[in-house]
Amino acid sequence: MSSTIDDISLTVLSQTDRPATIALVGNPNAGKTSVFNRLTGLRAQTANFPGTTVEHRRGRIELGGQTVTLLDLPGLYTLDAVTPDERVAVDALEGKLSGWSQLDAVLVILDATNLERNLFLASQVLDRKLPTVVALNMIDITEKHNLHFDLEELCERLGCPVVAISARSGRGMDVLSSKLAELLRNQNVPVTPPDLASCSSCSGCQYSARYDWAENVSAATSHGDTSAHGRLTEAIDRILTHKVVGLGCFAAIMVLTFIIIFWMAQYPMDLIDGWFGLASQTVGKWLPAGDFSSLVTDGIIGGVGGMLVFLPQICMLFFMLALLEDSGYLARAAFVMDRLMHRVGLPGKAFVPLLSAHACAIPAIMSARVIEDRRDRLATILVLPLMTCSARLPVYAMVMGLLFPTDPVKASLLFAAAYALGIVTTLVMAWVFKQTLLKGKTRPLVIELPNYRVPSLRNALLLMYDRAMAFVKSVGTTIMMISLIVWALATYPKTPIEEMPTEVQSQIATFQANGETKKIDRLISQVELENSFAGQLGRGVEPVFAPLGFDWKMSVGVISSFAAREVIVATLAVLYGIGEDGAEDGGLLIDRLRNSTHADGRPVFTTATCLSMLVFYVLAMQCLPTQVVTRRETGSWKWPLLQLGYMSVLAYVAALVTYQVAAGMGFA
Amino acid sequence: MLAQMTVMPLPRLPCDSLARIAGLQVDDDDATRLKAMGICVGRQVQLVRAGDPLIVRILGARIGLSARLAEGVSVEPI
Repeated sequence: MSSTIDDISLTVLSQTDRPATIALVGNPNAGKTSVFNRLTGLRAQTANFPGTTVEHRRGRIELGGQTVTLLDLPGLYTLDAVTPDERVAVDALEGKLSGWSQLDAVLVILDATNLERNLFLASQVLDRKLPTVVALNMIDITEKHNLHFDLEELCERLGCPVVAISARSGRGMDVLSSKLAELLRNQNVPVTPPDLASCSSCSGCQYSARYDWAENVSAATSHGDTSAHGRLTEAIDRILTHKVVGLGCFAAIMVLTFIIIFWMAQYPMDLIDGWFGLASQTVGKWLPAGDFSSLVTDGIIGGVGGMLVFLPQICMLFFMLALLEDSGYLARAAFVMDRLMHRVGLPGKAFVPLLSAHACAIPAIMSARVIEDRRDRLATILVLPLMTCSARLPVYAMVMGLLFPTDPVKASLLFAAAYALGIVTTLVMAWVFKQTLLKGKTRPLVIELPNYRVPSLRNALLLMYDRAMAFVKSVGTTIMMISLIVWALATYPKTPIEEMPTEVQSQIATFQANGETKKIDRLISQVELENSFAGQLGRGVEPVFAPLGFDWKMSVGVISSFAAREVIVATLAVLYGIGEDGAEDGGLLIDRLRNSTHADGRPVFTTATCLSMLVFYVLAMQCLPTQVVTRRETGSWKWPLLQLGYMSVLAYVAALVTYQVAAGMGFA
Repeated sequence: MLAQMTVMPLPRLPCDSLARIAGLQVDDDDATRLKAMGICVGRQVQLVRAGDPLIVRILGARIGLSARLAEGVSVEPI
């Protein structure tokens, strides 16, 4: 729908006064994002380029009384289109990008602390003969280190206007804006200096000639110590990239990051949980009891709340990752983990997404974008959901409560085992995928280790906001649909009290005589769920799950938690007649579960069944938002379906083996 | 002839000593990635940290490089 509207507005605009488009080009780490954020503020949106999974940001700004679209191209080192990001950037510069017309101007961002390297890309962009302005960024840092630039000379050598700026402090940004406005008016293309013009025509290595040029220009235009800024970085790197100490530091930094994420996220999570509980209660009181009230409170409010409760963790994760990346540390993390990750066929860059999946698979899948090679990236995305995310914790907690209610040591050991099972399976499956379906050599590491710097809170907050909105938008509607379907399956068909079994009716009569209305409600919802579509479905699939030691109630739980694994706790609470509110009181639910028996009097939740359920929930997909995000990131439904398929088979077989072995050893 | 005798794979360069890149014997894709980072024939390079992966300084920046790939970069100490 939305794309049609976009297309229409684009055609209309191009016929009349199409806003001019300026693209930002620069090396990764040149501060392109900071410049973009400075120019646009919050008026930016993130989208994929049509037909690709390459993301860009664009924003509308006013420049000299004219509306301009600012397009942030992916960070690049070269225009020699090897990666999808590079191809998109080249297409954009050549006006071949679908949905975009020819660019009106280019803003090249150069890192002043590293001019020589940055000039290489600049030389390639200047060759494209588009109206260009060059921004020399991070000028405040170089001045602090007594490195100065001759802007006039640089301007002369590049053949286009050059502005010294500091996107962090905002210095020079007004000059940059006016230069851009001027450029849009006069449309001056760069005057290629003769020494650069010979680069593209020379018969030898084009790169070599350009680097020689960059070296000359940098030497002629900068005065002072060019390496002063790197000395602190070198000193820090002596520790952080050390073969042994570096790994230790990496572990410590990651543990600290996760402690901060979990600790800080718990407060907003409790708040959101509370708000939605309150909203559902309040609305429930206003609306007349019945299907509509249940639809609104359980279906809509419950479904949306269930999704939003993970938003704080997702936000925190993105925020912390943005800070780590901005500081320059993430490149070191990829560096120290590379050799270890190669053993399972993944690059070092896959490690941080894999680790992030311990909070939530969704941001982890989105952060897998840093992996350049498509096969490496797909393998990472496919295995990410096997890591123990926070939605699994309620299920783990329930099983621990059942197995070791009074033995915290054994409980924590089993907890650790569940985590370990997730990690080991992830690595094994990554290796399997890289050996079979996604066969190919892992890309050897080539990574720039940028100078360390104090990360920008502003950029991190903007990125967090961006990602959170992407999550809510792309996942929100789907989750809503699924919550409604699951609600409908668990609500219909209704069972009138007259049609309930006689012993239920007599129980209700007893409760009525004693005035225990709450117990009546619970009993009714228990019987209704048993007879609903979900209940029937659960009974239908019971034979499938029986070899895993699951009874029909647990089978209903598995079906109902298809879209969100943590739902099983609430489903079991309803099925065991303690009501959804009862699920909050873990002790009550666990007592109920422990005392439940099969029809023939055998207990349902034996050690074998508990272990089998634990293994099943460690390995099963059971998360629709993750699947939606996988679809979004891979651009095809093939991959989420494969994810669902292999994880379900894995979970089933592993739970089956667990149950049969444990039962055989006498734990039944 | 003598100059060729001193050409060696990058990982064998003594730490902190300078060298000039003499050739790249890697896949085309990898060659493009290396060249984009400044690792191209004629450039000056310095090994900052040996091992796998290793770190080189080139064009004033520090690049992390897998040793397997670095084996394909031949250098000539200066």
